[in-house]
Amino acid sequence: MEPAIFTPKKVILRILFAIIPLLSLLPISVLHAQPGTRTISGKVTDESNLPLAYVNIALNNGGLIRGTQTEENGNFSISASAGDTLVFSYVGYDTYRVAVGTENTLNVILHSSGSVLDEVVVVGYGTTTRRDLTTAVAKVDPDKIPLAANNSIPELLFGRAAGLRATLNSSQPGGSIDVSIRGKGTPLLVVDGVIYPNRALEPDNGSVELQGVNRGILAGLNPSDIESIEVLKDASASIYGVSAGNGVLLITTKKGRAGRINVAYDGSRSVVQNMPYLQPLTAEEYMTYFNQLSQDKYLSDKNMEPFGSNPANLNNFHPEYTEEQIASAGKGTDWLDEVLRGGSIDNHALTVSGGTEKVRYFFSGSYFNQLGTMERSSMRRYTGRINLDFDLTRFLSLSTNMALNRNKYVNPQAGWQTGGSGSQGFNALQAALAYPASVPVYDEKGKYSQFALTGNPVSLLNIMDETNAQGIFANLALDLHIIPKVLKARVSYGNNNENALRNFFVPSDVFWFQLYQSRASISEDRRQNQTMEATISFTKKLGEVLKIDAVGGVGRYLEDWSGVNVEASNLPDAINIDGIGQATGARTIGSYRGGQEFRSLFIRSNFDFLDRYVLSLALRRDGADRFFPDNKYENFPSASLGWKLSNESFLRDVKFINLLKIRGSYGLTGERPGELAYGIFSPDVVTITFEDGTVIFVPYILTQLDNPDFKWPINTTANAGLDFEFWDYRISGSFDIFQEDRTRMNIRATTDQLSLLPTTPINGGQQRRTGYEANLNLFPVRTPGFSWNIGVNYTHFKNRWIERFPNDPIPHGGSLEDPIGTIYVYETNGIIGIDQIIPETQPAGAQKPGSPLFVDQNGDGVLDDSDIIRFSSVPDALIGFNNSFRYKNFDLSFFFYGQFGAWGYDYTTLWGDPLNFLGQTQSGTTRIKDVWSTFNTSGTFPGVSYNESTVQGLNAGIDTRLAKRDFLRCRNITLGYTFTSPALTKYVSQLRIFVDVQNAFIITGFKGVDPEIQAAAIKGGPAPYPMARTYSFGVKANF
Amino acid sequence: MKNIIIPILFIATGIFITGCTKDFDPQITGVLSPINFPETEADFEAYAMDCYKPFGSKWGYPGVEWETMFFSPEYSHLSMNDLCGDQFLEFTNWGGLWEGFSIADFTFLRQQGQGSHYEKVRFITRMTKILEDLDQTTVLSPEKRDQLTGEVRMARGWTMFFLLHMYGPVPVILDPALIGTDAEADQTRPSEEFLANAITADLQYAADHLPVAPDQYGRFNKGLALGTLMRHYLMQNEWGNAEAVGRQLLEMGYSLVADYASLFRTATERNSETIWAVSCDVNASGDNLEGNFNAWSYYCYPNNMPGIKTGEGWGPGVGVFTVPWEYYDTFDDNDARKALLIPEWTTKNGQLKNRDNYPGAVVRKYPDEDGPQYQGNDIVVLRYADVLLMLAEAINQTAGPTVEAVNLVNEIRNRAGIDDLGAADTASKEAFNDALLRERGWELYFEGFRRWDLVRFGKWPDALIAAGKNPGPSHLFPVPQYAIDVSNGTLTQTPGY
Repeated sequence: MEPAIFTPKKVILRILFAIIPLLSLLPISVLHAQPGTRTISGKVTDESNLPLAYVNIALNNGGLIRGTQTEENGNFSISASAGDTLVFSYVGYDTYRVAVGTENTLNVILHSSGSVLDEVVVVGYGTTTRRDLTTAVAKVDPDKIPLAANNSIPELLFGRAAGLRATLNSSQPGGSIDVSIRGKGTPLLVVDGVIYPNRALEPDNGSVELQGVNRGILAGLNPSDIESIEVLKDASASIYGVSAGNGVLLITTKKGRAGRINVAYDGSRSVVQNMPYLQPLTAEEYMTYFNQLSQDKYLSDKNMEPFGSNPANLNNFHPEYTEEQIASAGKGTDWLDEVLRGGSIDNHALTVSGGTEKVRYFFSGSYFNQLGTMERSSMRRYTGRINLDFDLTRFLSLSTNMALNRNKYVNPQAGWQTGGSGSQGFNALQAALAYPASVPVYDEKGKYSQFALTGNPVSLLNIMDETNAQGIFANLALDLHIIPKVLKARVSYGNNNENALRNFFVPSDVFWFQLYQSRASISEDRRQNQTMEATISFTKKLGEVLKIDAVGGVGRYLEDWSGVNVEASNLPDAINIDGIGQATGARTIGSYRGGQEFRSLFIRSNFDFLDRYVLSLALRRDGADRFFPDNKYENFPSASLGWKLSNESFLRDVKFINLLKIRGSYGLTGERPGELAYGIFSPDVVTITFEDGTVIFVPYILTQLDNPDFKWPINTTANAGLDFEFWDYRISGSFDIFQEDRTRMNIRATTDQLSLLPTTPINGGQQRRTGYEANLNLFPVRTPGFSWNIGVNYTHFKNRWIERFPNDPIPHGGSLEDPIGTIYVYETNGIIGIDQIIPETQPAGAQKPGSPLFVDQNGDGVLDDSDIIRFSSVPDALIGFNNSFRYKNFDLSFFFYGQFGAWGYDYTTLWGDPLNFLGQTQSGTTRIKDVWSTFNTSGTFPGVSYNESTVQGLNAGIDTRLAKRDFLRCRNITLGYTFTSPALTKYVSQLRIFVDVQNAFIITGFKGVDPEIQAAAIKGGPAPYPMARTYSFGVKANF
Repeated sequence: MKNIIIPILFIATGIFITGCTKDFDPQITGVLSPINFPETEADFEAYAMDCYKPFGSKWGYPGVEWETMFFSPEYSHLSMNDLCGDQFLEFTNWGGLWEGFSIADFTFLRQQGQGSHYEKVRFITRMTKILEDLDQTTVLSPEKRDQLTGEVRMARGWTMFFLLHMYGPVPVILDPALIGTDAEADQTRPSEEFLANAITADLQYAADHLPVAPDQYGRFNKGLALGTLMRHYLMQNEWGNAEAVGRQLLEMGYSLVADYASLFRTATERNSETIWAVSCDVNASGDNLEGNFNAWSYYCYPNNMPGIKTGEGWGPGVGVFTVPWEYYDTFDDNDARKALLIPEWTTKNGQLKNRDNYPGAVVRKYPDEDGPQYQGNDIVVLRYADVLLMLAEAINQTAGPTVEAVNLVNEIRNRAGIDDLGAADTASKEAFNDALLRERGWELYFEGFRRWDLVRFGKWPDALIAAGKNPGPSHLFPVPQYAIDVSNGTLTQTPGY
């Protein structure tokens, strides 16, 4: 350190240097240079060497407190005397105190505290802090989540917050993820204040049953543009009353900050590998099992021993395959290998942000390119965003957000057919499971081979199926600061406009749906959401006693949608969808259009008394066009109360408590009515034709009557919670318990049996959802060199009927109290073996060896409703579990999520059904090996003599396909290194490299493709897109 | 600053004011409103056309759940009435409805949910409502009113006939004043007499008002109404009434065609004998928005049997509808009707299939001679030969085997290329009755009548047991347990279940 040299010139200069920024930043502060002081200057950075701006620096010399802040580049200077204490404090970082010694230069590293007490939490129409929050609001910070392999916001949400459930429906690029709060439906999505559609925009491909698309919401947003995601779980959502019954997800994008230009680059390259998939039989196995099982079937059909009383006689049984054929079959074709591949992801994002006092900007552009792990399937997305904030005058500011996206998908041929077609409608992945390994890819003539009714798996990949989606999002808000920092008026307009086009073409040389025929479909959907709002907000602190924070406003919300589609057959392959008019075969056209409007008035006021009691009252009055005039409007009030115990005198001196707050909320929310209250004559979905189909009538049928009494559903939500932080943030967390009642629900209920309308919109039923959730954040170790952070969250909820819908009887074997989602089944216990005595209770159709043994639970000798047992399809517990370590410049984290206590049917077992297998329309998976037969009497799956669809007299399902869907998935393992070497930081202010493994492993007993993915019960068998593991390498740099 | 506040307040106030109920009506698009529909004659025709919905051949249509038509491939007249009979083998490969019907044990239908034919009790109510609206409007010409009301009553009466012979008497709403009242929840079964009278009334009205030859082939006609009424009378053992209706049909100009096989081929599907058939579109594939389709060769051919046009069937090695050799052998070798059953064929792999290695004869009543995917052969529902046999049956029941009655049967036998009935078959009322059932089997197999015939001739379940089947508790079907569960105790299960 250079010794302090005092020259008057230097002192004056340094004082000037210190004062100028102080004056500009803190115009109100008045500073007095004290005699005997000198100037101390330096830089404040965070652990990753990133400069921290606006860090508060207070000087304490025994009573007199002065202060300054760091500049944009983290530099500061302050005049101080030896013995003074400098206190550096910054939101979210540990406060750092240092006594002034002899040095004139002081570089300070602030460590992030882990405390979230002062973190800003966005709530509807305003913000608050974790400290003052009175409701159950969870926050997800995308910065803390590895983004490399993730293309959408829902991918960031797996296990990340208590009460928030994200469930993967498909692992295809852009695959659908159900997002739910406390197990409810898809929440209301609000992006920068604009209502955003909460379902995917996916045009279909006409009447074709080949439908691999299963993609999700928020596909147009670039996850790296997101500043924060807030989850409004309880009555906090009531301010969005109109449609907040399922809770609200508030998504806020990043904004520029005043300061020098910050250029950031985020890039990664990922390699994607399929996890183990359903395992097909080899050619030899296929032939062997075919012969064995067909022999059993022969015996069973002829009622021969051991299946019946006739003596076994196989003289007329001719095995399909000879010994020689079997011996020479070998492994055969690896069909899965023909249609699956290794994938990759390239993800690049560039951000330029910064600003001056008057203008702040944030520009970003991103490119995401994923090659799926199924041949041909891919996703490519470009996004661009401009967020600008202007302070036009002292009283007027303007902010605009604009975002564009373009997503291009090559749709995968995975999943399952949408209709009831069976093996003729299989996609390439299903076909790969259906084609026996004994069939070669090409026949002797060099053409694609063909098995049964199914198209050749490789040839099916030649089907063109592409979706191109675009979106424009714009939001404009004008703020009028009537009384700066006290009274503000705002008008805003937001618009989200999307369209998507799907091109589909089956070339004439692809055998599909039992035909060699060219088939084309073009389909386009568009939709628009408009949000118009005007609000007035008021904030005022009345002495130390009361702080008031109020907002009121009005809003109009318009939605409209439309689409067209054409479908035709028989056109040249070279023309395909580019000239669908050239088709000579049948043509189908369609279109639709619609819109709806909601109007609202709302007001919320927060009162904070003595920094101890926070009361929040809100009222929203919502209107929907779909109801009759007298029922258009409904009021949705809510109230919440927080008590900051830790600020009470009796706790204020308890040192280890940083925060202890109890809170409660109660409020009403609604749900956007899906149904209309007005009478309708609908075109029947079935045409009536005469004259060999040439005379066509479209009948118009009365599908619903005027229902003037139809009105808003009402959900009441009560929530009690506790927030705490102890021992300097080493332990923090929250706990919530809730009960929610859904009353007068809007549904299309089944009418009475003799009604001419099958269903009609009604207000009916009542459900009660209860549950609790907790999150806990721990720092077992926190030193400057090493820190270890554990985050855990836990969610439990259940939902039950209080009153069922009309004409919706309680399932047999159940009761009204059962949780919704209960699975009712008869239990089976193993397989009936040869010569085993068939109990009286075995139902008709399950009386032969090879049938599952039904359990007579109460031993009364009758198999009836009292023998039905119950399983829950809803998990008892959802957990998220994160461990992160920081050692010097290294960071390492493991993130897990999982569910426990959920059951479901594993329909991938259909590939192990011996009757499907013997139908000669499809091969099977290795599950066939577990089928009971006279060759495999220890088999655990029912044999050929049993067909579950003909078991008689049952009032519930059978448990043979039921499987536990518990799992613990290691979602991410991430190792990062941050460069701090001065040689580098000269050019790059921050540089971090990382490797990440996404879906590293899963711990589960489930044997289908993945316990999280529910495959459908479909003729033949479903082939969900395979689950994949992703290895990423990435760079994050700030210039 | 004022100049900024004012526009903002203006906008805010504007939004506020519109925030009430002004211009706040719903946009209702793509559908019509009861306010302005139906108004014109064309509207009423489109409205009334819904009466044809259950009488098509498509995969089905959405009701509360997915429902099938009477002539759909699944739960069709053929599976409900023929597959369960003594002329077809049990088919256990697919399980489900195919196995359930083929083994003649209908217990499985108890587990059917809201997609069963029982849901068509709603269709009866809908027809009642349409009839009321047709009755009240003044925009229809007398001819159009006759045709439309005739069609709707035909549909209602015929649906009740189908339901009566599936489930026994089912609750129906025939009085429009009951629509929208608690009566819709009352599933108390009426007496059979009540339902039978209602069927008679509807079909008689239809016969009196429907045109003999409608402008559009495929619409209901007078002959269909009379033929259905005649079958209804037979089922009710009202032989005299049946005979009277049969004699009316004799006078309508129908006649037997010379070539039996031609009745089921697309090229000759419109002829002097077929009274009503489901008019099929050769390009249709069962989709809701297309014409009716014929998929029957897929259900008849085994999957490795080369078809004429379609390539193969769906049956796994064996067709769903397969005629046992024992029944095949009952045909006279010269019988032209036997020729539509295939006793020997070569698989696509070159293997010869016949009675040595195949369980029965393949049905090729509807040859797959056309169509890119399915076939265009109209599905025959009522033809004159059936009327002649029904008339002979009615006469025999009242007057015994008269010469007229025997000649009616012989006319049919001769057309098929076989001799007159022998003396033994006409010796007594009972003998002739047996011969009539046998003849009906040969003439009308795979046309959807067998269960009704066996019941009417008193041969259910004996004929099935003789054919090696083990029939369930009743020739009638159980109503779905679901319907009982929601009926508040008003609906009783079909006896036997």
